[in-house]
Amino acid sequence: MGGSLNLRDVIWLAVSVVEVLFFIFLALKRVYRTHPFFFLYALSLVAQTLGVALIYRRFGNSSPEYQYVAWLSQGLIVGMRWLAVVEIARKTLAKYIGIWRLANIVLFLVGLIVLTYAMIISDLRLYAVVMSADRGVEMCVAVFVVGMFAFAHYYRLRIPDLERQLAIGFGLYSCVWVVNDTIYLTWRQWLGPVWDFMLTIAFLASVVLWFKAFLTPMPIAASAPELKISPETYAQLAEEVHSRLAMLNGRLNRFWSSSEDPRP
Amino acid sequence: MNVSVLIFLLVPVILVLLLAWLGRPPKSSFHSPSEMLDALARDRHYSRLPQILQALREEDIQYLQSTGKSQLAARARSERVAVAAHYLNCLEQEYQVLLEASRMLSAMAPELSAIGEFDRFQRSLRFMFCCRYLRWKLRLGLQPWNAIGLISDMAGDMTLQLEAATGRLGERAMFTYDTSSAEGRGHSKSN
Repeated sequence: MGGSLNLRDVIWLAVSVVEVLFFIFLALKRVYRTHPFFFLYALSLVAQTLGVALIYRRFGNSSPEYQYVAWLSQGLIVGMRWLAVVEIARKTLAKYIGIWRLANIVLFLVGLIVLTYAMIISDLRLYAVVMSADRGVEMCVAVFVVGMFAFAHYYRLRIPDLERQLAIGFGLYSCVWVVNDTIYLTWRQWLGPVWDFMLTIAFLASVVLWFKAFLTPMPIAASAPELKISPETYAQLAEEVHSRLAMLNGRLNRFWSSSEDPRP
Repeated sequence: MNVSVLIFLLVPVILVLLLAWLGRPPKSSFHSPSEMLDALARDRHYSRLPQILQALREEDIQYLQSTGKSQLAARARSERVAVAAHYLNCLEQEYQVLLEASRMLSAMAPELSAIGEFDRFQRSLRFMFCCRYLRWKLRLGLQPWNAIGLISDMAGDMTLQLEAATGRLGERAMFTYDTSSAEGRGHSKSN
């Protein structure tokens, strides 16, 4: 290896510097205490960059060693990303016990269906199978993130700003990843080496969002609905809800029956 | 371009749009069970039910038409349709309050049934659709009784669901109360 750096190398170097800076920033912020999987994800990004750079320098990017290390480390990164997303979902929904149990089942089931479907409709020839699997997992992560937001939106749950921005970053990045892989698998002969610039920009945008999320002082979390209510409060709550519903139901029934039979 | 490529290009775009829409902070009507109780205890506009029922009856209009006052009959009809539409708005608002209440109960409940939750989601969509359908039928001067029947059924089902949810919550509240009482007793005993 050696010689002058081309544009791709410059971008790779810039992204690597951003990854290292971001990791140092997270370590200084002691994010490993609050978001251990997110921290491990950032660490795995740095480890991948260093590992792949070493192999690249020694064997070049067309060697089987390079391909093997690049894809193996990519599998690790996607796994860490998945764990970080689950961690965010748990932090957001776990305090609502019933919703979290339901969301757990639904989101994992939907994720599995998306992954299976993505693999079924993909090109499964040998050269494309790893990338297709990668794309399927990224689609699965994106659907999981959107599903988590859908649950929170439906039940009117307030997602803390930090978790919201982290999740949006992951969601955007995974969506761009799917598009990027699709573009590569379909039009690689025309696009050449520029195909992953979009992904680089998406990654940098996500890192900026995550930087901003951790830099913003965390406000005191909005109080969730009281989880442990006293029997007295419950009795009052149940009575009010029942009486109001019974009244509405009765009026609707009367409205209907009177409309059906207009005689006074 | 084949279908799978289209799917892999379109689905992420749809997901990003959904992310932008769902990522906004939710507008919740209640922040605590006491706020919900206040909202449920508030008096509603739809208490003027007899007048609404009167507005939906045809006898007065037929009488005005039979006496040759067709202009007055038309005016009375349009005003009564507007009143009935307003009544529907009030029902819709009330249903929203109940939905919010049931969502708050779901947030507090220790267990949720996937089928039950999906059923309620479906029903709330149907309720919205029926309200709009009814409003258009009223505006067009058609008889919307069947749709009103549907709405009535939905509210009835919602009552049952809320009863089940509050029942589970009650069991849990009693359990929490018993456990904390037992712990309290144990603590004082050890002291």
